[in-house]
Amino acid sequence: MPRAASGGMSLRVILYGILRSIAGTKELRLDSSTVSEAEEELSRRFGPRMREYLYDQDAVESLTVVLNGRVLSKDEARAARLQGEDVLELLSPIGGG
Amino acid sequence: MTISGELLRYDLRKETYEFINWMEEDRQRDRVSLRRMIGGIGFAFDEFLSAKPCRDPSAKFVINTGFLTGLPRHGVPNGCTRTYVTFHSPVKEKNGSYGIAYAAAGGLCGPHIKSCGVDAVILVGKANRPVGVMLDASSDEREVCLIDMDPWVTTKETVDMCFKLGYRGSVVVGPAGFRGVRFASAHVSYMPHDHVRAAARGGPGLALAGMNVKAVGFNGGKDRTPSPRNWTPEVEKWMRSINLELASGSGTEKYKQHGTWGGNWSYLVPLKALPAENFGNLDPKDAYKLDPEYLKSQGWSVSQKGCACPIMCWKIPKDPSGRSLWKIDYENIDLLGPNCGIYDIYTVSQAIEMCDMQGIDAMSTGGVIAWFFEHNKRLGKGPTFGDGQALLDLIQKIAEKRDEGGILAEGVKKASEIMGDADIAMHVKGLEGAAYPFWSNLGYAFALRGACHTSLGTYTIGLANPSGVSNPRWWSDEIVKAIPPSMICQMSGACYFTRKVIIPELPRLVKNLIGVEATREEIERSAMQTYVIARMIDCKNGFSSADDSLPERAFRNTTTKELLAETKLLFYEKMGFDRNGTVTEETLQKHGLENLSAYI
Repeated sequence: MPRAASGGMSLRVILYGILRSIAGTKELRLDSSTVSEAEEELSRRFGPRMREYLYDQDAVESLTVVLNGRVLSKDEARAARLQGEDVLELLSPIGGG
Repeated sequence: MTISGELLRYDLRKETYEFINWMEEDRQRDRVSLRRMIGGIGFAFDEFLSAKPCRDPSAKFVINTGFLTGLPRHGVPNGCTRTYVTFHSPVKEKNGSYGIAYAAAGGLCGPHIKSCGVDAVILVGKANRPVGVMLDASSDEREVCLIDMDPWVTTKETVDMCFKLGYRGSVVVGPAGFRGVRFASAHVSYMPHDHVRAAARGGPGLALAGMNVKAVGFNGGKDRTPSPRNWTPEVEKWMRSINLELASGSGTEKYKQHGTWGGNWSYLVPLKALPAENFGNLDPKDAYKLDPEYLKSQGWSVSQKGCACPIMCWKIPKDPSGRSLWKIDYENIDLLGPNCGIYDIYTVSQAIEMCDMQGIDAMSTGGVIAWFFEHNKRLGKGPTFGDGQALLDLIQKIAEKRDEGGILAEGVKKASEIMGDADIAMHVKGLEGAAYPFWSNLGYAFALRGACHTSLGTYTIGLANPSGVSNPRWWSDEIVKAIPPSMICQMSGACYFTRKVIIPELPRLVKNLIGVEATREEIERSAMQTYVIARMIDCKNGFSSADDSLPERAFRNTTTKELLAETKLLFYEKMGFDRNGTVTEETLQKHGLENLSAYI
């Protein structure tokens, strides 16, 4: 299970692409302790469109989660415990070009 | 129903034609199938079944539509305008035989084909001079005539000329096809004086030019577009909801906002997966210079105003002085940009425009020039990565098959066989790669066209699933799962980018538009059948397990030759192929294709 560094600061969340457009910001701080909690908080703050992308189950376009520079598998993302000073990057791929 | 059941067959040698009721013929031959009715390559591949290998990629050429191809006023979903071209691919060669390929484009030609009361045009033979094959359905009697055409004018000029003559729909070839460029593209009309759309991959322009066909035009002035089988107020309401979702829902929003260019830049750059320098560098430091968000911060605008398509996947950059550049989508800007070491937007835009005008596949062009730049770098000579003027000069030389362009026009596989450095020739089955890392997509080895991202949509899953990428069972499962949605988008007329909206609705669409009850499983089975038929044609032409390969540079990170070998065997087993990847009687039985056993 990926472990994050400990510390007193909030989790740093970086959004890309459509997630950034919806949030209207590149980056924010959250106090979430799991990826799921972070997703819920983002959905709560930014509404149903954000939720749709965060929970997209499409084989190509489902969310990519990067914790401290490492891409997490879906199982790893579910199990990860987040702590202060962690950097969580959320990316929503586009289906082709 | 939204298919007419008719096709036009034109014999270019005899200059004769006939309209054929293909649905009735299928009934008489006991070959009625859902895949043929869904259309696109599901229809067209059957036309290429043969007991003999294909030695001439210009022997037959099919232009067709899917059951969804049309306009909203015809009762089909918005954004489904695809035209398909199917042919034996000049780049997919094995010992003098040619495998099957297809290409597709949006634009508005597809609806014009439908308005002529046909689903498909089948061309055979070779004309004795460069011609346009013009289908005029503007009066009570449909007529087809041949008109003499100048092969050396650009794709856009050809489309505009067809418009002037009243043929609002057209599929055209640029001068490069007539000069024999192996990866020459076909182009499809949209609106007068607007950008043409490319059905680019695999050399359809050479196949068509080999028949001496410069254009195929459609004038459906007396609109014969077929109507949906069931069109009730309830169906109409449901169709409105689909169109609303396509126009403003999350299934297509990413494309509208960022296009494929911005969407992929904002995904692949942070993951260090943006191909640069012939796929040798996946983390180019200058990538930001071509990031639309960066350009916007420098006073540029990046938009697609005025396009009728609800998806708006490509964008037009406009510089701070108000100058508009050529339309840009992701594959083209990466493969002619960073993959060639070029980060100047003006140069890349001009390169894309040159490819479009001359009628060469911009993706393959970027692939072969990137290889040439690296080949030169190895030799310690120029031109090499980053030389923008050389990029533009080489495009012109390729289009004219002049100087070193004569060899590069053969495509990266053949060019590297002639000049050396085949280990850095980034292709699968002769088709230059799309703009995704090879290492993270084992699916390329099994994609119908070769290194094509849309013919087997597994190009991002390897990046996003680090626990799966080293597992052959995971790969074989994912590749099998990816076949139906990938094929359906090449059959139905639906754009790949509408798939999240359209695919869940397919059973209801098939029922209301064609009048056939079909479950999602039955539709997926028809998609699998389409893949298997293509495989059968390729086997007939000498392709085997050895061709289900990846270029040397793909074997990095978790991707090894052993992983690919194990994935192959598992994939073959799931698909019912034998250990050499061959379609057998058992394969056909497994997929409900027993009636095609004569073609094995």
